[in-house]
Amino acid sequence: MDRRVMTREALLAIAHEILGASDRWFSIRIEHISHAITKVTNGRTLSTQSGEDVQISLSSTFGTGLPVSIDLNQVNPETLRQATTLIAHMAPPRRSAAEIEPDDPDDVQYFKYTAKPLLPVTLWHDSTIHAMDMARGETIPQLVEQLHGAGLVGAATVGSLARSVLYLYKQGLTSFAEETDNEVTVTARSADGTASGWSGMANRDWAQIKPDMVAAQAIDLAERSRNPVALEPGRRVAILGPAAVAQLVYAMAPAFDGENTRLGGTPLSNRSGVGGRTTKMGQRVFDPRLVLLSDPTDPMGGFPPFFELYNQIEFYNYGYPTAPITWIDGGILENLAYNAHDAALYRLPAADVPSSVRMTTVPGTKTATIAEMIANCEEGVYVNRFSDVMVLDLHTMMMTGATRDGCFLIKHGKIEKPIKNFRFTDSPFFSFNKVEMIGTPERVAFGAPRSQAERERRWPKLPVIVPPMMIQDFNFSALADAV
Amino acid sequence: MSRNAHALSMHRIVRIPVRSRTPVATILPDLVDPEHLRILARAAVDAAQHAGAEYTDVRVADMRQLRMDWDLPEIQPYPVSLVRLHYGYGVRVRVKGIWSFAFGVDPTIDGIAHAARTAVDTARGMTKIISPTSDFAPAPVLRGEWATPVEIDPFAISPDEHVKVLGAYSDAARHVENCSLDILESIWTREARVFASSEGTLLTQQTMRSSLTLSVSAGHALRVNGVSLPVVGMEPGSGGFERLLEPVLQERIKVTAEEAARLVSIPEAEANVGRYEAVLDGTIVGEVLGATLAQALDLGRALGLNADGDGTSFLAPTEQVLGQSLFSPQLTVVADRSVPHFGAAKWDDEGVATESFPVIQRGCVVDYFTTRSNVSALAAWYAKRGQPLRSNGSAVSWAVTTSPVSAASQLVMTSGTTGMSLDALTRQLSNGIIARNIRRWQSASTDQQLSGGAVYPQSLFEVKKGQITRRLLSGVLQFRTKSFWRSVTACGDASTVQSRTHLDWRGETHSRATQPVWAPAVLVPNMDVIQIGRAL
Repeated sequence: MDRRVMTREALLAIAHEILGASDRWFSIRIEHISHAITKVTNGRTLSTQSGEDVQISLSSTFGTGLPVSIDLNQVNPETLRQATTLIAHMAPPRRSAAEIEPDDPDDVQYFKYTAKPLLPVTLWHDSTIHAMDMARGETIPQLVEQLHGAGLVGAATVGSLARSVLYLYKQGLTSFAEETDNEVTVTARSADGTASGWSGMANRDWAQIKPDMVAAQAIDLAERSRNPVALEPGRRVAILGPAAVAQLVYAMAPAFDGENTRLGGTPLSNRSGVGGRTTKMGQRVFDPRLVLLSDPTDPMGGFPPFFELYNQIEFYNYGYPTAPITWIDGGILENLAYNAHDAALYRLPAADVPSSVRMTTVPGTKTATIAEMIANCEEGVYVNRFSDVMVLDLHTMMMTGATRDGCFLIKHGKIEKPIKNFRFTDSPFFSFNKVEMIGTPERVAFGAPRSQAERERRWPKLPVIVPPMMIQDFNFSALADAV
Repeated sequence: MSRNAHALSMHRIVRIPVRSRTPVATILPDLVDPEHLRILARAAVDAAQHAGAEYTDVRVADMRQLRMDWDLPEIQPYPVSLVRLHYGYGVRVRVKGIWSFAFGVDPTIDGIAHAARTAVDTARGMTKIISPTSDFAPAPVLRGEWATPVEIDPFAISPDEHVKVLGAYSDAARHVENCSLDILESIWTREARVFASSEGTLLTQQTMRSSLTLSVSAGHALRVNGVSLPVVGMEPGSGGFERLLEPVLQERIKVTAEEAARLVSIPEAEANVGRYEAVLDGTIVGEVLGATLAQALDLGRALGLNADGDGTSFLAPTEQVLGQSLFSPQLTVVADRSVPHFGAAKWDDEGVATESFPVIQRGCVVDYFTTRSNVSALAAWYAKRGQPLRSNGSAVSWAVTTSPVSAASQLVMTSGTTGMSLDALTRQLSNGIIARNIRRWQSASTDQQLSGGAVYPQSLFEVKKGQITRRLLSGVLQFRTKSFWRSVTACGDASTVQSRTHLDWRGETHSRATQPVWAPAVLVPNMDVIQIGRAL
């Protein structure tokens, strides 16, 4: 079977060719991505995109060498030689070898980029590679038929990804991962444009994707969203579906940046300075039932076991191993994200911010289905997902966005009627302290809404596994006219 | 000594590490000969047509980018540099009315021909299960070459000289007490792009784009509660290094820094929630325009083609929008891809000649951004106006590895009458607010139909009887798009016009969409302010 992307050996051969062309030390990153994405709208193909891209990055951004990166996508020897010459010209070491002292950041050993073991992970599924050729022929007609049968207009995206990536340092650190991923999303809308429903599913293994279920959920939400009525904005009980919770959790990842927290820049900073502490480590910051962890070996939420370029904070430790880490346990802040240098300094584990994360509950916690949450809600609002969640203030993680594709008034334990969308303005560091009920975690699809940060460019996003939640006093700050 | 050489010599040298004195261009591989790109493009067209395509178009490009980011120069003593080389192509085919697109980076005839055949095979497979799409508007067959006029090639300047010039600007800001450069970024992108189609069009464009960003700030070292203002004259555009050497720039930096220093000294208070008469500067107006109307007028979005992605548009259905007086008569917006605007090009990514055209005239929507594959939806409107049915040159492939979509390029909002300076607008407020600049790393948050949103100004001031009285903290502006644009009662004059680039990354392959807007300050009677507070 054509694996679509280069193997470890093929990537290593290119990397060694680059290293052999220069006596300078810099990091090398080679990524090979293959996509197969089909989008249909209103029963017609909007686009079918198949293709591959290669990115080779040479970077002198480790140590205190002058920060220069060169990205190219050609693997011919002459271009690679020119790139190594260029980086040597633009990024000479700041000191000569004779001037380097022990523990000097210009010392190539400073960050100890020697060979290191990586956690074994399984992120590759042949079923996905097979699907890249076959799925659109079977899945797309099925989705179109379901939407058409429901008398709705709609749009769907079926996409698969294969990726291999290698980070290599002259000192020996070699980190490689290969992964597959898939996402199927469906938006169903009434022909008059007054009702909309959305659902999605993401999994590294295509065999676990259930497109018919995705379409059925989107159709159901659209059907139930017809003739929405306006409701006054304000603080209300909110039942957030997993897709909505995931958007808040994903957006709050930078709050766990340890160094920024120490500088007073996040909600996890201890700005009062009580006890001489600069962070809230050891303090309760979320509901005592909540647990937040990142584990590269998570069967559903696994990810490459090293620092990656795609994550949300520039850590300059790409390829450096990361370990499983528990951020929040029983609502208590247990860890923050530190790069390799700071982690060594503070004698803490090195880990990137939780871009890939599982939010779950402490053992023994009673969980509830969304249906049970609704049954226990006297009056509240069900939110399927949000549009364009944006962090307004890093200090509080105050966010804004609008509800989308399924918003309902709940009264006396039942969904009473569809309501018009709201804009919300709230912080998960408030919301996750006002949790009434928690459901069972699941991996969430994000779709491909536009994003405003270049670093969030990965599609599908790394696995985010979260439960639905029932939250008190969620701040719906204004009505949104959008459907 | 030439004007530009003189300008270079005028810059003071600041203490910075010496980097390479060798121009980047002498080390980088040259851009691929355009003739080679044309050979590849024709090979792809031939391969697709031979495989059974009824229509094929191809974009092949070789790109070089030099980027220098200098964030908080007083803390970070040297800029971060990025050099990017990207060579790629995209092949779009139509088979029995079904479109398909394939992309790749293998720069060989075999590689691009394989991509072309893959696209045809995929489209043919889909013909069995999907209905064909609507008509493809005709366009003249064109052949030609065009290049952005460039006086000084930034790639022929050494990194050391780039840093010297940027350092001199940093120095200019620091000469004003309590001030420094906040953001200093220069991105130079040189690209050779060939478009070829099975209709016989063959076009070559060599473009040079620059994204220049420069803000000065006064106040807190980490800018938590400081005042930051962008410097006029440093904005995205098309042209060479000479754009960075305008003799007036240092004076503008000084004037901007002095204004920031004056504004930061105004007493602070927390913003109060409420609805206010407001003056918004050109940066904020540009951001709101780029985040709302510019996206809403994308015809593909208005037709619901992106419902499962970004969303749809409140400016739909088109027949209920075109010609209607939806917004303030003060509002006129023109699309313009001519030099020196960002994204200046003679032809778009479907080989259609670009032209300046209005999308909103005195509050009426009169056009959308179209492509050849979606413009037929406007046939009735064009017929009513006696215009031929043709795309207006708005097809954009942000990268050649993405399929062309309808999108705005440079937008220009018409300014008001002379005499309406920012101060003059402010004097019209009896009890209101004035908002200046967008908070760094922020853009407007909009909903899925762009019918409303929120924007976080960098600085917000209370105005009483025409005078700024207090600097308000933690205030966010919330708006409903239609009401906002309907309520504009006055536009500032040319002196208030500022550039703002709304940036986002779109689609699964995540291409960077750059939406620069030139806009004047405006006066609106009702602006909602919410307070996001700091306590936690």
